[in-house]
Amino acid sequence: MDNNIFSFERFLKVLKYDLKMRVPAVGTMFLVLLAMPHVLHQLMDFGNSFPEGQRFDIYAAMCVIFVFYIPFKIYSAFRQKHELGSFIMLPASSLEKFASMVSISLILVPAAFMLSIYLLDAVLVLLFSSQYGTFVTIDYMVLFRGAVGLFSIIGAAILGNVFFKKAAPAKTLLCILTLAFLWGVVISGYIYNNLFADGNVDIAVLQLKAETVESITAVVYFVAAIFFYAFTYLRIRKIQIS
Amino acid sequence: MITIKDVSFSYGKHKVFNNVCMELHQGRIYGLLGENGVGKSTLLKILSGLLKVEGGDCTVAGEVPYRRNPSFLQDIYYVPEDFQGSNIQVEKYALQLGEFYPNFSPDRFYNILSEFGVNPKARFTKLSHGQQKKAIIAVALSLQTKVLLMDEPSNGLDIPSKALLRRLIAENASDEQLIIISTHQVKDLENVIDPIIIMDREGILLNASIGEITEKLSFSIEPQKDSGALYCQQDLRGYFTVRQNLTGAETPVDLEVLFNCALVNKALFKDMFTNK
Repeated sequence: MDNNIFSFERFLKVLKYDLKMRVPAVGTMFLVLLAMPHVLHQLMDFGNSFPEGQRFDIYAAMCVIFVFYIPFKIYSAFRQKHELGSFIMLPASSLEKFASMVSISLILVPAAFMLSIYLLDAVLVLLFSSQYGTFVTIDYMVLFRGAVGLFSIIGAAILGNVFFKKAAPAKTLLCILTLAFLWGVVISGYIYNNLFADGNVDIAVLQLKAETVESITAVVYFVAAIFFYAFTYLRIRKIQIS
Repeated sequence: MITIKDVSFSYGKHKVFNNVCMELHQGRIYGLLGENGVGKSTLLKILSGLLKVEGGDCTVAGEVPYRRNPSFLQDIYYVPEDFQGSNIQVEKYALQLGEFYPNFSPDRFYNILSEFGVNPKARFTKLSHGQQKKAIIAVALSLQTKVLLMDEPSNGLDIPSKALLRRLIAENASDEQLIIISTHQVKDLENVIDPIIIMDREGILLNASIGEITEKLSFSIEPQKDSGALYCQQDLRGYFTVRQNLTGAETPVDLEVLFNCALVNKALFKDMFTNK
């Protein structure tokens, strides 16, 4: 009896196929965004120091832009009739194709990009210590929140990529901003009515309450992302070509 | 190997076909003929699992195509009419794809590609439409799937390549394979396709082997138009005439004339060739 749901061996084949045939599509963007912070710094602020904090913020922005675009570049097949046919007819299950898509978009390519940023930064610090100062370090809490944020952004991007046929990145971004705005309205109401209703202005208490709001937001983003991934899988299973 | 029972399909409110029934068997190269818009490509997409039937049942090698089970997908390959490859080397594409198909033969791929005169190192995007078509046909024939569906494979090919295509299909088809070639340029694939299926909006007008066709119909070129014939088509040589075969003598089938004859004698053809 054939295993038509998930075979690890077949998943590895799909992953290898995607890595060789699809991932190179993101190569140029990878290199451009990797070099951009340093090139821009040299162009706009030549010779001056490029402190760690400033570099970290720019690197984070590059990461967000890059991970958002990964599914649109690598899995552009969803917006091209013939390539979508090839994707659907590749002899693997929908779950294996979805798992490969998530592995590449969520883990492998973002990790390679972040590692490259970190390594390039380290090399530049060693070569131009007077300008770059110290290595970029990341607080674990910041890393954790960043990971949840990226998990949500990539989830939304993967769904937008398989859902929208035209102007997919722009429409996805619009949806993300709309959802974030709606969540902002909800959480603002909650903050106003519950957290600060007692008029307590103690800084320590306020900080604790702010952290509570951040944690709730992180949980909401995480749950939303789970739905995004689930809808993507269902879309892959049911998609048809006209 | 393929069973289609009362299958119907629509794009929204636009009905493409209704209650299509037929059985297709391995070891044959079927020619799927029909006017533009009768649903030939749609039928191929249904068979390959790219579209879901609206009504009826369809099975390919015992599997429902739209479930897209890997065991089904590794036994079928579909060459679309409007193939456009991405920025990948032809060779790299074939070898990577071949890993999913148990019967893929790299030697066969290189041989067919060399016969077509396509450079395996070339990227699809650097090839002309005809060259891309040749490359994907080479891939399709070398995968050696149980079912091979080709939608208008001769479109975009020059005249020598059409002859070559006929030869390569005939040479590379095996007894275990079922090939369906959809075309509206019947001359391009004459002498390769047998049996012939003629589709119409109301269903299948004809699904018969060349032998069955010649048993029931006779084809001749006459100097005068015969008003009693099923169909007459004039060209420089005279009147191509189709009559019911009452003598039992076998005559060579002209596919274009057969196709045109079927379109003007729909009820008769359905009665003769599908109501067995």
